[in-house]
Amino acid sequence: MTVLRDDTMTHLQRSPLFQSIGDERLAAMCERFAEGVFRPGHLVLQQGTPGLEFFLILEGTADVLVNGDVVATLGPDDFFGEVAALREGTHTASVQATSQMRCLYLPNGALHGFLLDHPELAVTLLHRVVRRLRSVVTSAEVAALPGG
Amino acid sequence: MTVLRDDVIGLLTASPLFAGIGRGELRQIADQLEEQHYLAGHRILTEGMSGIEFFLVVEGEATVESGGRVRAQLGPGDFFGEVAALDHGPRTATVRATSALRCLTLPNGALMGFLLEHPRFALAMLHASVRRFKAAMTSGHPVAATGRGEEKA
Repeated sequence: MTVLRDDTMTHLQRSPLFQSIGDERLAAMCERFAEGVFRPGHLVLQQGTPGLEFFLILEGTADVLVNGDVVATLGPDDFFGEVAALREGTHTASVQATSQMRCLYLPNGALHGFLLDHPELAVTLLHRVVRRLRSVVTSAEVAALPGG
Repeated sequence: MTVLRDDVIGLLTASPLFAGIGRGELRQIADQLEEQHYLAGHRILTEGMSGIEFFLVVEGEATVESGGRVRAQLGPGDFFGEVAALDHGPRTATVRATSALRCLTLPNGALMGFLLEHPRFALAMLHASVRRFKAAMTSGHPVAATGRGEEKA
């Protein structure tokens, strides 16, 4: 049983990720998340390693690094870890906190089941993953796989 | 109303995208899909053009091209068109039939509602899209490493 701070619900209500989800269901979701705080400089995920946690940033910022290069920055309401959390392989990038960062996370492998219970969130994540796919494909013109 | 061939439910059952979906729901899904046939060589989608139809391949083969190069092959059980169908931007690739191709399609703009009605399909699409994202990320081109955490919604 994880104790969440009182304002977690408020954070989720404000988050575009959860905007289609009513308060009652949000409260149920809150119970599934654990909460963690990372210090600036902490390497939260390491590229190429396995890991089954899915992270959602509530406060703070992080860099996304691929082969040591910063390719993106993350802030409140961004998520990361979804590739490995959906058991689709190792982490595609490293994520390093650049300020004190507060995250909600779904522990080991719970993301798939969580999304089955909360399909609106699966659809929202799908939108964002597709947006990431477009940005990778169009920035490099190296779609290894279809995007259409 | 579109008339689908009798074998559509069987084809859906065989696709991993519809795994775990019961027969009753599959029947509803089959009713929402339209069927399209293309000749070998037909260009179904063109990179850079607009269009928001979503396609499932049930028979035949196609290639995915972008930047003038073939990037992937598609066959039965594959889908395409999802990026533009979801974000309404231009097509990110050209898809060309390399044999007679039979597709099931969701007409313009129907994908979003379809995903909400069929959560298991939405989740299967999420898994498949994450795999495509990972493949695009690891395909080697340094610029491809725009891991793009996320734009703000």
